[in-house]
Amino acid sequence: MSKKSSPRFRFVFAAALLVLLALLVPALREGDQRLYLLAAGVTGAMLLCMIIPARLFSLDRLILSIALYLGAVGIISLATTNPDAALMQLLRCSAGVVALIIGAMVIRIISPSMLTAGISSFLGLLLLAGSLLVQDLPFPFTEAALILMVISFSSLLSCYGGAAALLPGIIGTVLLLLQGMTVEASVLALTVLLLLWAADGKIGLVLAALAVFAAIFFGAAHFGYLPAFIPGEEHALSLSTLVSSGLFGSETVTDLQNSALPASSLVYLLSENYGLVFTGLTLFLYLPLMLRGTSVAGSARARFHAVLALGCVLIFSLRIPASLLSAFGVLPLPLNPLPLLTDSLPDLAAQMLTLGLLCGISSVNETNLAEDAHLAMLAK
Amino acid sequence: MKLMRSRFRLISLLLTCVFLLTAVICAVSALKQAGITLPAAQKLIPSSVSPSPEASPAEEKPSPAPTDSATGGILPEETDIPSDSEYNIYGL
Repeated sequence: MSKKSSPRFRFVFAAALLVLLALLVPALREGDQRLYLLAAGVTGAMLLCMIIPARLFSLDRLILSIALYLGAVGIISLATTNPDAALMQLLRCSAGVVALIIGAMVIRIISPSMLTAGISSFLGLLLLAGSLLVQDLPFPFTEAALILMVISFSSLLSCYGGAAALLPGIIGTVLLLLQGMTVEASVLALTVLLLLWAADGKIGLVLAALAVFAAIFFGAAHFGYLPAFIPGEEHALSLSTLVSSGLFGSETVTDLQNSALPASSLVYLLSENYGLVFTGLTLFLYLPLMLRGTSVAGSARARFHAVLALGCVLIFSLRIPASLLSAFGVLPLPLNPLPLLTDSLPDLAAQMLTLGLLCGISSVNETNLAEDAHLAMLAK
Repeated sequence: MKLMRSRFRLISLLLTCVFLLTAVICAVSALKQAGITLPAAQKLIPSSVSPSPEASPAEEKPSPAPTDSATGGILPEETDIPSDSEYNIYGL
């Protein structure tokens, strides 16, 4: 009987083929050696990652394949206009894959304890306070700080209950608001509130936490730390840039380097090169990623793993609607790059680390299920 | 744990709904900007976002009223279908 390949492996194979075509066609047309190198490197790396690290570290295939595809889409969006930047993006994605593997390994080491909570909250708050004190930091560490805050919250919630877990979340929200990062502060506050409601369940505590966060945001608005939500020139420019190449893209690509759009966001280049249809289909891949993440959280046996997995999903997912609505000019929020479609190395590494934590929890779930099956077989 | 898992499912449903709603709003906004008007979907977009005036073909120059070639006078409307733009789904 012939062994059929799994649907997830078929997805990666199809995605790798698509990426190969997207890089090979301009390489043949322009005869650029760098594009040939990219075509071989990106496709080979995607297939290699699905075969070796996925089996070696028991990574979740669906999460890994979507993360690899979104990383590859970031590379192909840069390839036609700037092959050197695309090569750099390939290196960044490789570092991101290393971060993903580290995340999957870390989850087997850490356990809910005061030590875990103390270290993660100290590092998270240090990163947030550091970026508040040093204004001209070359790298943004907000994403990494948010993940550390979620680890701290999960650990404290599992050991000491909801009231103790609230404190780092509140301090983190205040530090983010002091830096003017409204979207990130809202994402952290919403994540803490939803996790508190789902895992702790005490409605009085949830209402108290809601009142505290509302007071913090009201205070920030009163003292002028919240930006004015007025549609600016950059929102109109963002929408017109996304739509400018029509449904299927255009040959001529405008230079976005000097525009008011965020330089680290790759969604504009993707839309200009490949059109709205391809961009929309790519962005729809966030949905299975989110659903797989919540499924991993729901099947976790330990409370710590369940809360941490859902926290990772919420931190990753809640920024997607905010980024999309601001990019399409619907809400006058600050323009932020979408997860995994960014050329900022710290952000990409932190997002891959988040997905790595999810892969690690999925691997722990599978180990637990295999042990259960083994015990059931022995009991018969 | 059972209650926690049911709440996790609720959060998952909430995330899915928010994502799909965002996708619909963004798609309508993009289509509006591109000049394709969908009257039923326009209600989803806040009035603060308006498409560029040159982008909507439905609002382009109206065609001149039909005239009688012999006399040069304007002919009366011959159809019962109202010329309201509400019926002009694709803005053509």
